[in-house]
Amino acid sequence: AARRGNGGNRALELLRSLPRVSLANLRPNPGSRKRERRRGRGRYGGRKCGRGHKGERQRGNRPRLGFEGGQTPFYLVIPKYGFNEGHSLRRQYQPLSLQRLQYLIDLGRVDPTQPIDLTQLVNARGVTVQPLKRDYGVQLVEEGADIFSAKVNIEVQRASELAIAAIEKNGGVVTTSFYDPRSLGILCKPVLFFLRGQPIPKRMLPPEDLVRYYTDARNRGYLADPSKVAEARLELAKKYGYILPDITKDELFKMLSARKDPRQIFFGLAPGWIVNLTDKKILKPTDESLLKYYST
Amino acid sequence: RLTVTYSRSSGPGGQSVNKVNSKAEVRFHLESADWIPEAVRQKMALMHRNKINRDGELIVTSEESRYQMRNLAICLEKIRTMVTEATEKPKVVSKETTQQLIERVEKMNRERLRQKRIHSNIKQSRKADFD
Repeated sequence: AARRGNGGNRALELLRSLPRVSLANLRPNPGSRKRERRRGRGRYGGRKCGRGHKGERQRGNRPRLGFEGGQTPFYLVIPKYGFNEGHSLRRQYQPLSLQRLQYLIDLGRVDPTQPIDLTQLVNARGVTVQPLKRDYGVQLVEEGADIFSAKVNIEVQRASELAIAAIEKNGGVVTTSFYDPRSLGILCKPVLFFLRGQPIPKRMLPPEDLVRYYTDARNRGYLADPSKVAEARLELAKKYGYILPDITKDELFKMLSARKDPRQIFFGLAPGWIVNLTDKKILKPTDESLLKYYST
Repeated sequence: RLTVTYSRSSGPGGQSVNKVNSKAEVRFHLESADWIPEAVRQKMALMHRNKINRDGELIVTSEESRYQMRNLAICLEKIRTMVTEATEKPKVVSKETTQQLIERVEKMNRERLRQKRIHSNIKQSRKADFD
């Protein structure tokens, strides 16, 4: 057929020339609709109708699932033990392997020239965090430690020793910080939060059992002493046998050393501010008591 | 001054061993290692004679983990333990402590014999001889 018009024009021309669309001309795509198997019809589907021969099977009176004919069933023989006790109160951390991080950076989904935060990872769809399902954030896993070669400033919630060593070997910076569930939800979906029109809340400090973790320099906790963190970096370098690259002489030193305040949720936005997306404005509180509250 | 090589590790384990586990091997020339004192070097040559090859290089391998970095760390840890083991001096027991130990042993023996005599008396007093 001659290519007279393009796109919509051609379709209209065709409609004018072809016969009228009716039930006789329509047919589904071959293979899209498969014929259903109907029981109780025909030589093979009928007769016993797939029920077997006599007994409880055919008469539809089989005992409940797990019944073993009177013998104590398996699910009662095994004694109860609290494997899953308190599972809904346990903190879960979504794992993020170094291999996946390298993949994201290589594809350009995550920008290594800016500090990498949970928001950046979620925007890049690198990880999926569900704050309502007892997720407390992201943890770094060693999966791609040998292949990893990117200089980044990462902030996660938990990190294992090898992962920290792998990142610092390439000249990066790792920090572990705590986000309580509410601030985690805000961090993962910032736009939805801004649309709510509430002031940015201050991030809560970690609970008792986690304070020790986040004040330890070996875990690069955000509450730890910076001098101790530098010592820990040297220690790791000695343990894993690599030369610790000096980040102070790096051109991206300012970006690499950018860290959040313990009460801050977003880089550049302080608690107490309201972000108005429609008017593209930020409202800051002026009342003294509010300022005092939000500055801890 | 340490030569590090990585390779695929050996041993059973099927696909996991073939694809994933890596072996880290660290070797250094023992005689010319100036970061270890002379006496320690000789001690190490004695203790780990089986790990030194014909060229005089001490070889340490590790293939326990699937990560090169961790295997390297384990190798370094092994070298550190070797050096510390070779450095430790044999324990010199001072005169006072040897004397104390001898006194203690003698005291224990005396006490044991005393208890034995007492027990023997008790048992004898229970005997009825010419009744």
